[in-house]
Amino acid sequence: MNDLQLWKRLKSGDTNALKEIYKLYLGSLEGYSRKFTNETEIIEDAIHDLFIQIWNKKENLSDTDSIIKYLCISLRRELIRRIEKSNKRTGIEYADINDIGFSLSIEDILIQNEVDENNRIKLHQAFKLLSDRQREALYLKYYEEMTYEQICEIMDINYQSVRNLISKGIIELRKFIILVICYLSFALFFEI
Amino acid sequence: MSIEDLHDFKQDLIGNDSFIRWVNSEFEEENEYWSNFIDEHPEREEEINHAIKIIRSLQFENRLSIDSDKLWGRIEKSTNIDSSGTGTKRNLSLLKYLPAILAAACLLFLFVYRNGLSDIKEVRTGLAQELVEKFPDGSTIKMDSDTKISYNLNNWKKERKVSLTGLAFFDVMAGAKFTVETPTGLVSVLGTSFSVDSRDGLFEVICKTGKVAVSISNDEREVVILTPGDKVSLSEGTLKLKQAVNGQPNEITWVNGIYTFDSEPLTSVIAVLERQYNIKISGVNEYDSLRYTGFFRKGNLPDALYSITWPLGLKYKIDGENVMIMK
Repeated sequence: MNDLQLWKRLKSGDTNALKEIYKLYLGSLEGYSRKFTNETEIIEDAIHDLFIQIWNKKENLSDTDSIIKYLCISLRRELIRRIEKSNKRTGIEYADINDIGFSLSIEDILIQNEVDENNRIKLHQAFKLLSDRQREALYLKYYEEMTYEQICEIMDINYQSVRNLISKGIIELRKFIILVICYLSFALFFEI
Repeated sequence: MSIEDLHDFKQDLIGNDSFIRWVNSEFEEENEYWSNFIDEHPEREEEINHAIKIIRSLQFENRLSIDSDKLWGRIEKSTNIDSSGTGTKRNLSLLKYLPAILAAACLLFLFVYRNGLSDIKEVRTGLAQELVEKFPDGSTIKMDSDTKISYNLNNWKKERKVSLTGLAFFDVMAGAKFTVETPTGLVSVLGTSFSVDSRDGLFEVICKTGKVAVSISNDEREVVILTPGDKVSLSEGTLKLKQAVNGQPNEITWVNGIYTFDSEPLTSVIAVLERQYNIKISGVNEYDSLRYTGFFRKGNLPDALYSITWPLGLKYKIDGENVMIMK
């Protein structure tokens, strides 16, 4: 069952399709949301409203070959709106919608058997040097494997901006990472 | 996809969707293309390996904690999705309850309207813990250890009232009257910063900026007005004012981690030390007639103990979480 078919079933009112989509993508949606905020209540409310919305609008949804992209576009908007609202209550003001942070904590960075604790710390430091939007673009590209076009739609910026975010982000990380991984054994990667 | 002629080959590999998929899938997806590519460009082997390593370091791990079944339950409810498929029937049967629901809603509305939604927030710090809390209007309070506050979240803009037991420093934004209630005294300001000490039956207020009005809890007739540097403390039932002498304001040093004492009983000083460091100190009762003038700093227990004991000719011994004072 690919995305296109699942989406078509949803549009035709198949309630199981909604549940399947939920089960398939909840992990990604929560993971993405947690980079913007750690308040579970905000995340749950945003995801809840997202699913209500797509169910209510199901007949009018446009076709899509990437459900996760579609969900992320709406979710991101919802999250930012709620975070801004919550911040207003505590007196924090943001100049710009793009000032909302995207943070990677040290636990977010995977330890593979080749990367030990020290290097994880160094990687975390490298990520801290990037801007929020660079981190977000890298997360969408390398973890969610989105294409440039999909990232444009999710982050609501143009193609060239996405390319810049990713290439600048990688350039910054490369400076750090080359130092860190030069001792890793090459052999492991050559079992092709 | 002509990668060969681009000057930063690695950079382009790393940004290439197909290459990323190949690496992330542990070299299963798109493998035919990339194995061929490697065979045809053996001179690029090292660069390809570097690119692979960089992509592999961009691996993330999501820690998920949402109760997915519970959230799905909420969604099901909100969309009336029902596995048994009797959705429409249910909706109609609810209609007969409508008059009762409306009546209940009216009563609820009246109740809320008259009493106001009580939305009280409580914050407390433990021993050896410090916290800064931000109020809805931007005013802040820095709470010292073992301090508790409560305040009304809604309606804050109109009436800013905080109940305090303990020691705290307030930084108040200009706005409606800001009141601090302690067990023994009342402080009210418009926009200013000041320290309130309401620990163990004490009551002392030091004004840092602006103007502060201070009165005893049950007697609002006697009001003392403080200007920057002034200090007022409760002594034998009345408020005693110690005004700032030129160039010598009463300092609020605890905010910077320094606790000062002016001829205070040793037992009180030890109590503060215990609270700041979250330790138990024994052997002090023998010396309760002694008075101490001086200070100690946060963050270094041996130094702090030394600052207190040495001037009084005493010694201390640390044993895990317990400290003993002796001659």
